[in-house]
Amino acid sequence: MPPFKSLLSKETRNISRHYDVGNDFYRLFLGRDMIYSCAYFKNGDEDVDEAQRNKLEHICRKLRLQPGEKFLDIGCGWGGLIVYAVKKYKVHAYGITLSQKQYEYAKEWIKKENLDGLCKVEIKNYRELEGENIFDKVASIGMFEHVGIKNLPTYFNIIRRVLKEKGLFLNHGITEELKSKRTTLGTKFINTYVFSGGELTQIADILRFMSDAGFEIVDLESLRNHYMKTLRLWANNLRNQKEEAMRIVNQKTYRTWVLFMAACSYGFKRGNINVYQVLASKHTGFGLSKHPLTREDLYI
Amino acid sequence: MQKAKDILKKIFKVHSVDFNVKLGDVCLMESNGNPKFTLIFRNKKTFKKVMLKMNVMTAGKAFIEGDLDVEGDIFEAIETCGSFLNFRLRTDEKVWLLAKLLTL
Repeated sequence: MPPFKSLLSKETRNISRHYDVGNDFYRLFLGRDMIYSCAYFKNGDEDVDEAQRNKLEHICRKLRLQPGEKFLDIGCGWGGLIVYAVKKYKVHAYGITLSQKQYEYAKEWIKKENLDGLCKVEIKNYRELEGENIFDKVASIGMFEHVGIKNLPTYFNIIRRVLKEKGLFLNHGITEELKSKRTTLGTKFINTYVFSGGELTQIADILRFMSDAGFEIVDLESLRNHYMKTLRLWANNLRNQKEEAMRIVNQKTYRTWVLFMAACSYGFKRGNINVYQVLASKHTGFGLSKHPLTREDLYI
Repeated sequence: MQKAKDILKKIFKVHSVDFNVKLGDVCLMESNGNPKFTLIFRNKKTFKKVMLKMNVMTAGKAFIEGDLDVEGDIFEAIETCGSFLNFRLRTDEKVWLLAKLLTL
């Protein structure tokens, strides 16, 4: 098998192992919109569903989505963001995922909402994205942790290529706070039992990779407290539905997810890990970006 | 069971804790007030393994296999255990611990 195909298969296997555990299992704790990334709390009392809707809105506002724009979501999960963006902001959305189960769920959701023609999902690796200057806006939410540090320059270069001049890109993902020379046992545990092939790096490295790829960083936000809360809600949701979960998965899977979510919540609380939204504009070298002068429009 | 109790006393090095530790049905360590959680070792083998290799990998594996359990607030349990995992014992303490575990 040629190296490129072999690499794609390996990445697909890694994703499938985690995300194809079963849609019914994920529904037990992720909530209505099946969103598996940090939620956004405005007052701290919201449930998962409301906080996830806040997050979708926050992302769409940061990207300043406009009707008719072409919007790409890399690692679109079960389709929550693309469906929301099409319904609320009237964009043409295209989502890619490596998970068969996520793809099937998203496809069905799009059909149920009568969004065929405006919203499309495909099983595709980001490396397989073709063309130049295709999309006005790109989002990658909770996906780049799977890319691997050595692949980050390729990842950002591909996104830059498919993004239109002065288009906006929002990269949302987990980072590590302190650079460790050796793999910690915590990381080893997660790689063995939860995410194969996942790798974290510091926010400073991410910003450097993005700048090197030709992005101008226009906004940066830490959502560490938000992820701590999200993970607590997910873990509680799952624990509260233990009986139902045990009908879907075996005990080991159930306990792995409970531990993983509760332990990561502690990691965010302690500050070993963080989660950042980096908003960047495709830098052309001349003139100003299209980005507004202030952030006021995000909070109206 | 006294040896297991001695081990915990040595490791936690504090007079009062806000959680319970059990080995099977036997209570090894008890909170003075309301316990926030109870850590339950399902068998002696798991207790020995976790005490001998006190790290995330060993404790995490025991939990997902069902040999180590938490009743009550799992977030408090992880936070408390997190502060004790990976801690370093002096050489004389290591020898003492090993001797206790071998004869448990």
